Amino acid sequence: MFSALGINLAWLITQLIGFIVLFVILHKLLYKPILRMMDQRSARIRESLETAERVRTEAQSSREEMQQQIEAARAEGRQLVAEARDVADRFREEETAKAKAEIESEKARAEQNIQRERDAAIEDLRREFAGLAITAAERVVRRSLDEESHRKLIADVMEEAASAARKN
Amino acid sequence: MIEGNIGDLGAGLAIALGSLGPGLGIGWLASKAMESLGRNPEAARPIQQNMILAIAFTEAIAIYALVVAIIIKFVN
Amino acid sequence: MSKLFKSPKALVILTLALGAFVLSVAGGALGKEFNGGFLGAPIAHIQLPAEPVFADELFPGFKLTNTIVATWLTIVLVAVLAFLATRRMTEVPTGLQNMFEALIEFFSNLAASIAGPENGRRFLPLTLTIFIFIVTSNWLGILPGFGTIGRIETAEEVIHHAEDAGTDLAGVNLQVFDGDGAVGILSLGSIRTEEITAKRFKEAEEEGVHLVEDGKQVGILVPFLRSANTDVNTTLAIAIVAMFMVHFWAFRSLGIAGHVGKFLNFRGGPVALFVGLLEIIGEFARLISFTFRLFGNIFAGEVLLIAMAFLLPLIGIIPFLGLELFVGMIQAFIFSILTLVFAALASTGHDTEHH
Repeated sequence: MFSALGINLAWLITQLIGFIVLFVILHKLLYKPILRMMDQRSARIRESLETAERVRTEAQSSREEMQQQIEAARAEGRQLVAEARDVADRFREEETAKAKAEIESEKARAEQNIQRERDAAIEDLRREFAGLAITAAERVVRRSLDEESHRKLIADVMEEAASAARKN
Repeated sequence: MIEGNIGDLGAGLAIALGSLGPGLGIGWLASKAMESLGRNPEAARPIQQNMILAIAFTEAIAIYALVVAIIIKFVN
Repeated sequence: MSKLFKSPKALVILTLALGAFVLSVAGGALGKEFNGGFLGAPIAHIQLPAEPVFADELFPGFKLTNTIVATWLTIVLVAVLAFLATRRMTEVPTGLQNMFEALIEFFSNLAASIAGPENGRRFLPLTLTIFIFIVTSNWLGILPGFGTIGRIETAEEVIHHAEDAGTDLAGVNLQVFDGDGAVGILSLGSIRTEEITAKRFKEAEEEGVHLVEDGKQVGILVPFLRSANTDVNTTLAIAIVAMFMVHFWAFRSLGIAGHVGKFLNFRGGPVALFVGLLEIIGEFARLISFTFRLFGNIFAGEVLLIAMAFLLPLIGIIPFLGLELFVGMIQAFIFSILTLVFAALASTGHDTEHH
């Protein structure tokens, strides 16, 4: 039966060896390099896709960052302007106040001087006037008044004169 | 009176009867494939592939009959 | 039709085709009945076992057959192609590299879809080797030169062998060759109007009559090359490797107990035991089915081509050459895809199948 079909152990083994040899040859020569190449290619494609994605997200984030920076710069600028205005205001107020104070002190000193001049003038006047009045009174009532009541009368008169001057 | 080798008759009968079933089978297969193709024309590719595969299986049975016929005819 | 007759080119082609048809009918087997048959290729001697290329044994007990030579030719051709394809690999594939890459990618996707990505990668090399070997040897086998060039076995040797084997001499057809060399070609037109069987030749020799004129010899052509898969040994060898690897992978992924348990199932009761035993028979049926599906298809194809060359010598063979190209590829595809399916089925246990 087997020999009628042409099956022969030696031939069968020869063909088996032939097929296995072909398998080994193809495995070494064809499948390994080509599968490696295909794997490499797919890995590279995946990698480049990932890189593109990463670049895209990076661009996105850097754009956002830039936006934030611009926003921050703008805010800072606004703040600076506000501060400058503040400082200028304060400076103006300070200067104004200083000038006002100087003017006040100048005025006060001037008034003081005037006061002092006037006081001195009044004192001089009073002294002179007292002497004058005494002289006048002595002339009017040479004997009717003693020295002491005389003095008192003069002081009263002086006081009245001073209060009248103060009122002016 | 018919003369000749009775083996020839056997070989002829083997392939004749042996191809009967696969012939019907392939016909039925193709008919069903066409039917499903008409119902679902988008699936033409898988239907065709599977049909060819199934026909090859069915045909294998006819091939067995052919092998038997060849053995009867050429192997004594 | 009217368009056809207006175009001179089409008319010429039509005339030529008709002429070829008439010529081939007259020169073929039908014409032979009317003293034509001048073109007819002879019905080659058809036998199942492969023929030895040399009459002598190469080693003790080993004769080199023409199918083994064809197998080696296939191996060398495929190896050379593979070498050329991968010698200078480029990132953007061209030519042979592109062809093999497309093939490998196709089978890789197929294997992944049938057996899953991990197993698919493991089954891929064997599947591809089976496909490449079978398709290459099938296509080589229909080239001219296969089956038509060979050594001439003289009538005396044929009769001697036939008597040794106990074959009926009346069933052995002899062929006539020009010249007396040891190498002959089965050419068109070598058909004989009279058939010479070994029996008739022997009787004529005994009577001292020469059946053929001088300068010609009677014998059988033993081709140097014969399509590798027309030998049961080749297909059986591939089937054995395929089934061996299927079970090897099954042992690897299921363990020895798991895989043997599929066939010798003592826990599931008598029915399961019987089913397991049936599966053992099924495995052998697969092996035999593998062997004879491929062998039968390719052998039948060869016989068909010979018969067509005999009936319609010039043109009858053309559509069948196309058919043989198709069958050669389909059978290679079926062999490899079945190996893949069997491997995938065997590597998943009965438990996981239902999920």
